[in-house]
Amino acid sequence: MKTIKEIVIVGGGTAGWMSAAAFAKFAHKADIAITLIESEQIGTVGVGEATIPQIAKFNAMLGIDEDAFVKATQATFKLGIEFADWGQIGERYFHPFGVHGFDLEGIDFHQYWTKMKALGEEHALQDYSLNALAAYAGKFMRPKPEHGAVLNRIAYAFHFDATLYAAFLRAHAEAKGVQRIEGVVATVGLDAENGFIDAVTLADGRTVSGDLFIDCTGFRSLLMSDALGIGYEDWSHYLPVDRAVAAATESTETPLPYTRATARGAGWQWKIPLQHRTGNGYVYSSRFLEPEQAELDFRAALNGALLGEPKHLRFVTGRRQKFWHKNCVALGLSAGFMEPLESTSIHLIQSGISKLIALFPDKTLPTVEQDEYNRLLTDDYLHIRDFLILHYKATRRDDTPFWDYVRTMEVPETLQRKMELLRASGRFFKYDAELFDVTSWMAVAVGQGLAPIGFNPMVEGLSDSNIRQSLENMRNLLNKSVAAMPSQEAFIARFCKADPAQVKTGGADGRTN
Amino acid sequence: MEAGKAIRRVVIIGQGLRGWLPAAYLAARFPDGRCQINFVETGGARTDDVLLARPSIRRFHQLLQMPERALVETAKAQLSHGVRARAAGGAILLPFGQYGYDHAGAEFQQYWCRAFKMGKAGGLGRYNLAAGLAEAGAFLTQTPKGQPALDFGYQLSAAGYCALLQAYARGHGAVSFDAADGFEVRTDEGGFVKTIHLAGADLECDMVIDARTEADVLAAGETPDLGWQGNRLYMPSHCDADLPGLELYSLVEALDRLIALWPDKDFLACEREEYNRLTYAERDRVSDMKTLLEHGVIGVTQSDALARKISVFSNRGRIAAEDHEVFTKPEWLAALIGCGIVPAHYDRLVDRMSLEDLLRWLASIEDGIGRTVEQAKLAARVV
Ligand SMILES: Cc1cc2nc3c(=O)[nH]c(=O)nc-3n(C[C@H](O)[C@H](O)[C@H](O)COP(=O)(O)OP(=O)(O)OC[C@H]3O[C@@H](n4cnc5c(N)ncnc54)[C@H](O)[C@@H]3O)c2cc1C
Repeated sequence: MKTIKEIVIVGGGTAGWMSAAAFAKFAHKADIAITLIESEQIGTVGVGEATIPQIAKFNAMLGIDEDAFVKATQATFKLGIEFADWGQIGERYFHPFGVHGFDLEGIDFHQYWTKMKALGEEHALQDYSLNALAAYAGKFMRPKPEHGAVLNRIAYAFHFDATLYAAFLRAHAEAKGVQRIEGVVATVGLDAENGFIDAVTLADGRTVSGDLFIDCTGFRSLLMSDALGIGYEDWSHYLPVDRAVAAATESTETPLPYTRATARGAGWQWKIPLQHRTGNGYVYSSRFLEPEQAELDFRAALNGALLGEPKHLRFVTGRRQKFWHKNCVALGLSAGFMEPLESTSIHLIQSGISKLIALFPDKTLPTVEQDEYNRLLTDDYLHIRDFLILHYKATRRDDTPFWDYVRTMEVPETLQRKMELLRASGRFFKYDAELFDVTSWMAVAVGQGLAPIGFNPMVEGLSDSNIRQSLENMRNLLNKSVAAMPSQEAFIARFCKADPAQVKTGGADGRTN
Repeated sequence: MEAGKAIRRVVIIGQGLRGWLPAAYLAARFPDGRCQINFVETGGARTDDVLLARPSIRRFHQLLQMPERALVETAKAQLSHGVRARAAGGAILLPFGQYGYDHAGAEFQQYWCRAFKMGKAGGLGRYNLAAGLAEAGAFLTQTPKGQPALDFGYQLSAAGYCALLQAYARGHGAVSFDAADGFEVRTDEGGFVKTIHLAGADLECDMVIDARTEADVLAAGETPDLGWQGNRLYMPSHCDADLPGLELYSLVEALDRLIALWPDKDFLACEREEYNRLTYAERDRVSDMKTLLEHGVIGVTQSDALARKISVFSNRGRIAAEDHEVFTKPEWLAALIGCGIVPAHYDRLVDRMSLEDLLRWLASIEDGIGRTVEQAKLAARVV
């Protein structure tokens, strides 16, 4: 069997170093050499600071100590996202990780909640989320079985400094034998017969050959798009944002354990608290807003002092038509980008890596495995895409042309069906590999004014007073549990306080490309 | 929801177990008599006397709070650790439990495949505790520490199990009507069933669960259907002596789906469509397995999903799972291997283990399983 002996990763952003660290983990015993080429001259996008809970699996797979990782990346903990002004200006809701409430008699919690709401109960869905309650109280602790069944339901992810994360993974990967080459790739050489990538040549004339090439060159997609000609499926009719202006500011408050996403005239603005600073960015659609005006609007909404000039980024929402083609796999922004609203990009990198490891080929590079890989990742993208579109479609905002457009646009049939089912009586059936579950769909739908009209008649099995009492018990239990949690500040101080000496580094800090 | 819209009268049409199972299920779901369950029992009798229940049946038994003792005494329940399927090339055992252990990012069969190709490992079945127990006619209800995960279903006497469900349903308010002499379904102009007319009674209904077998529906001169149309829902009729276990499984799954989508008298189209979408997906996954068993790998298949399963497995021993699978990964593995496929390659991750360690590891798993099976056999004899 002709085995793969050399993997070449082009690009040293988050995608490049995540891949390098992961492949190094198994390659170094299997006698596979890994080379990563990156160029300081070109730089990385430097954004991408919020994550979802799945990242803990990735870190665990690498054997990374979580506290060390938090310290090294100036990270804070993330319990969910607060969305402001999405359904309508002045409204806000929390999309928590974890689950809402407790199911009763084998029927989903949210069915009972919907019924009580119809009977005039005022408690919001998020009053039944341990994560949401803890987030608003500024609390955090990790789940542990010995803390009991309730506290063990905490689900969390991280906010971190993307540049520091790449550096952290780089150290990890280099220690496992990954070889790093500094330089700009100028040309990509293809085999004349089969069209595979033979080697890449750097601007200074050096040539790096390999068996398998990983394209982590970001939006440029130097290998997959430029060299192999794989096209891009444009989703901007569904997800019309295409630019961002981002900058870090000084923190003006104790870091909160959640991300804030505030809808604005032509998009939305994020606020991500790190230990040493706050990350901010306005993601907008250039069809509806000029960059100059976007920057003014962005600056006007900042609290702390800027730590550098705002940086402007462009992108097209969508995905690469193939993620694996011949002997090249695209990971990260070169594979596609669906905008950062639910922090899914880093997750998609991780998902690609783990599927590639599970389907790892030999030199014959059979198409069976490629097709399977492409099928699975396409599913990932489509499921996430639909959930993102929901955030724009489920709105009553009509104050700007941007919101008029998204409110009235046509949505994919798959999403249409999900919305109808949810709207009618809160029904939701998750596909096996789907990332976001009923908690997420309910949080966003209810939070943006698309709450179920009816409920599953099965809830009639419990009397109203019984349900009312159960819900009250749940709230009491959750509130009591939150009261017992330490503040995030105290938790970090105790276990994973970063070294303030690192404060000068940072991602979207104004360094231009 | 307005009170007037609630479903208050369900009529089940069927025969024996196929009718009493939904009756018991719904009686358990409506313990307060909110919904009257009537069962119109048609003529004809089952011919099979033994039924296989896949492991998921235990959730149903939990819903009924069915005592284990009743199962053993009345339904003559015996534990089962796998399905004995008939295939083109002979019998294949689809086990209710894992093969060995996944290790360091690679699935167990990858390790096995490496050793097997060198002629240094026996059949894959030796590394599956469930298969070992099933072959030996021994049973365990719990996975012993340090053994591959194990699950179990039951082998049941059809008549005894039916009697249990009947007693339960009756005890919880379900009423049966004899329709051996025929019955008539009366619909309104919109095609919704309003009443079931019997010789001695007219049963009004908000919803009909048609649990007759496909054959019975055909014999009555009607067109069988798999899904839910209007206010009439046909129970799936997967029943195949070559692949036991599907009848009970698909009845309970269909009822679970129905409860998750339990309607009111508005009968929203989107909810029915969702039920049907899930039902067709289940039918397709079952049909993939049947096609594979009947025709083997060279058989022509119309199903992309099955074609993919075969090619992905043939190439490197991976199981390409679909949404809403019926059969577990170990069952697919057993079926694919049983049909004579040996993957062309194995996962490179496996090479991280030295050959010596690999063989020692495989031997220790085989050994552990062998000893556990012997102990279970002994225990069975003692009891
Ligand atoms: C506005 C915005 C906000 C985001 N927010 C989030 C978030 O909150 N959460 C999240 O998960 N994701 C987020 N993302 C996505 C996230 O930033 C990316 O998924 C992640 O940074 C991975 O980027 P990358 O490594 O693919 O590309 P890049 O960071 O662009 O890296 C590309 C690399 O390729 C190298 N390179 C390019 N061309 C050459 C060449 N010719 N020769 C040599 N090297 C070359 C560069 O030097 C660089 O090292 C966001 C993205 C944007 C645009």
